[in-house]
Amino acid sequence: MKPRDPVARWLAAERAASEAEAEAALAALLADLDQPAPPAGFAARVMRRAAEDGVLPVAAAAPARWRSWSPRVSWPQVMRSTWARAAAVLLLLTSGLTVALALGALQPLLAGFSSGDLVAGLADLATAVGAAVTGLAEAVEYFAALRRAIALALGSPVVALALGLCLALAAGGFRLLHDILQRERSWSYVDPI
Amino acid sequence: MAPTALSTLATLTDAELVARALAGSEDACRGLVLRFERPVYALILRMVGDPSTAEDLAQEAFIKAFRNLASYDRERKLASWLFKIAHNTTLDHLRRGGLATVALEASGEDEGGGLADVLADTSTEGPAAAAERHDLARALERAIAGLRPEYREAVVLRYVEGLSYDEIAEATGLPLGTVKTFLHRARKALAVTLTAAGWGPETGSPPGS
Repeated sequence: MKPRDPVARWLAAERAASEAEAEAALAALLADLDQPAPPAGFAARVMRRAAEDGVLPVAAAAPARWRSWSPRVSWPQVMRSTWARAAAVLLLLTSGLTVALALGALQPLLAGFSSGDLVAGLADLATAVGAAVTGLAEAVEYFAALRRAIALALGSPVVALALGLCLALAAGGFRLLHDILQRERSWSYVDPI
Repeated sequence: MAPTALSTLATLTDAELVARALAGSEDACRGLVLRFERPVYALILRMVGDPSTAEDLAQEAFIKAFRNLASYDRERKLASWLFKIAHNTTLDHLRRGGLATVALEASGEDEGGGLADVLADTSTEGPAAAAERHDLARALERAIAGLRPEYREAVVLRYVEGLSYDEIAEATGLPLGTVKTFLHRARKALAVTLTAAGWGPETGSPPGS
């Protein structure tokens, strides 16, 4: 088949205003064309960037095992090893030394506190908690009063109608804004039909 | 998860591939890219005209796809979803850089691998037919490049990627009627351009007149 034939078939369908035939002919014409492919290594570059950005889907976490924090090793078996025993002794020694040093370092700090300071601090804390509870109760009372006032106002048909109108206006405004944003995101703002 | 051979991934459906990717298979993610890199890249290239920019945007589109893969509705066609991401990514880029300057004038003219080179394959036909095929490819390429970007995108999605009207509407965010109008106008414009370039009948009025 000569290259001109598919073109002629398509153009003839266009002239005949045969929509379906023209579509099929153009699709057949373009199907013969190979499409441009991305440069070699594109997939690898995407994967590298995805890994760098940390966006690769991560496997769902396995169901939590009860006491998953517990060691899976058998301690008696481990402790049979001389190396394990030596490591345990070393661990105990260093832990003890650390605790002793820490206590020594904290001694001057702890000496500055008295039991009176502790009682005063606890009293301040109790006062602050009491004030917070009182503030919360006042806020609850305020909102309850507001709810009663709104319920009373809505009992009036005029107020209810005004509120309905306001809600309708707000909904219309949101819809308009949504449509504008959608249009902005599509091609239709270039060529409105 | 154990590595999966690409040949195995190639036999999976889109939904299965997505499921594996969501389960944490890096190979499935790579399989997704390999399966859709050509259409996504080709669509973006048609819209922006510059291969380097097209590759960057295609990369960005796949990254967005990975980031939102969990929200992909497997009842929908994966290609349409990816085209929608590619469309939005490209549109954002074009809006940042100025939509009016989009053109594909240079594509395929001097570089290898363009449509003209593909159609100019002389391995199966004589030199005269090959030359004519090359000319046709170039004319088609110019005609498509000369379309408005939104028409060009619709043409590629419909006649190259084979999407339905509904899928194009979904991918581009356009109303169905607008998609049909774009395609109709684009076809008429292509027909006029090709006829003017001498590919129409020797006599008779040009299509669409």
